[in-house]
Amino acid sequence: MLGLLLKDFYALRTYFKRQALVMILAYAVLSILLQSMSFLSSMLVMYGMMVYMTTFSVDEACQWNAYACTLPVTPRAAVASRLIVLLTMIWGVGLAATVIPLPFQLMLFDGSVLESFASFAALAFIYTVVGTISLPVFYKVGPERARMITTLMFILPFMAVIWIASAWKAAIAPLFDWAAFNWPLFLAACALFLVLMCVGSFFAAVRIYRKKEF
Amino acid sequence: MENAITIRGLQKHYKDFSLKDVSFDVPAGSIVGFIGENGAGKTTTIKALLGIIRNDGGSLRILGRTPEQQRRAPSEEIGVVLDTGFFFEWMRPSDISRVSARIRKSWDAEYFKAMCNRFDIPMKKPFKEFSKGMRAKLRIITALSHHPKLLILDEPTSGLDPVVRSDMLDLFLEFIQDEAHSILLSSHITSDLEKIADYIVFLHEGRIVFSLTKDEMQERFAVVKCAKEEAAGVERLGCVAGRRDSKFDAELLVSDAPAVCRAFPSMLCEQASIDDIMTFFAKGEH
Repeated sequence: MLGLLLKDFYALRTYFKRQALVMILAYAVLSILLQSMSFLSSMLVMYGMMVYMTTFSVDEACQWNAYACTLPVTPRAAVASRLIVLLTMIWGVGLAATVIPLPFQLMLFDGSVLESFASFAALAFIYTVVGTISLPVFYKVGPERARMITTLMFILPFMAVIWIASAWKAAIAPLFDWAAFNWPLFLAACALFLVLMCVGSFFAAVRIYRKKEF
Repeated sequence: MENAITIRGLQKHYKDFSLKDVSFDVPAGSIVGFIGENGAGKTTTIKALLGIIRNDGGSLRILGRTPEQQRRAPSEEIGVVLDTGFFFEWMRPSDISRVSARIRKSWDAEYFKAMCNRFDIPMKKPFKEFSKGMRAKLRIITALSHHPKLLILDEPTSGLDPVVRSDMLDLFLEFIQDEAHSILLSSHITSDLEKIADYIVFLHEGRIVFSLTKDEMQERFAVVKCAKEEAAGVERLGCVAGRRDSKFDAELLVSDAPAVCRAFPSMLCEQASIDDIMTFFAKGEH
């Protein structure tokens, strides 16, 4: 599996370098303009999701999957390596992007540590849910259509939440007593949900990969 | 002799194309040339054999394993060059070696490096900057660098100049020196197969036309040039595999040259090349 991860890294090395330069420049300008560094993790989690989706396009471009069928690479290893790319790009990169600028944020601008971590965790949660749903979809329909479906998976719930929050604000607000809210239980439930999503996504994708003709 | 590959009654159906009852063997220690025009089904056969696509019927064995077993846990003993599918364009040979060393237990990084040096493949240059010849060489070297027993090559020398092709053929002949090694070589470049193949399998429109040793094929197939009136006499022998007519004459591809020579001793009977056989089947009346 390490070989597959290394393959993705080498294949995307140039893409990483170019994107990283653009991100650093954009981030520096935005930080100064907005007097905040807290959005770095949001940007990088989104970037991580893009990298994850790009790995499928790269495989498609060089018809890697057909070639991989001739290598000692099991379907489980192929899918697991892609899941690791997803989790690393979202949680690993996102966490680094939350922790590293934190001292600068606190020194140069206003902000709270909890808020930075909470916004990162919320975003990473959403991206992981969408990413795990999209994993079998990528294997089933190919990267071109799966990209469109994944984009819709972001846009449609987002629009629904905005609509509910604005149209039903008065009705919903009394339902939440934030002071008495059981945050530890909520976080544990979210973590368990993510684990179940990863396991379900893995087995669904392996099943599709095994049957797929390349 | 044990077979490295055995295919019996392979069927695969698509909307506009079918492989019908494809059967042939690749005996251990031999080079089998797999020929056929574009779209004849060579790549489909190879993909079915490797488990990349599922067959709709028939029995296949590759080093004693079914394609399903091969797909679930691909063998280390097989080296493959597909007509498409390889590492990404930005990767360099040194990257390919590092990745392969982690994927294949038997990867020989020193051998890979030595072969790259031998065939002037720069280790640090991205694949995308390689010429067609360098790409083909790198694919073949990669397929050889874990010391497989069986090589399956789908159009490996396509588009290469004669010098590079000659280098590659030498490499295949070196590989086959070990009697446990075998090669299934699909190619349009029939002159290459005439040089190195022990057996020829000819696939036409999804069906096997023949599977013969090269010597048998050269002995049996001939091109007969005669007047149109004489052609009818040859056809009565029942061994005409293809016919091409010009204004006055006819050219016949016969599959039993000795019988034709015996029946018509004065007739011009030339040994058919693989090219002749393919052309007659693809374009001639048969």
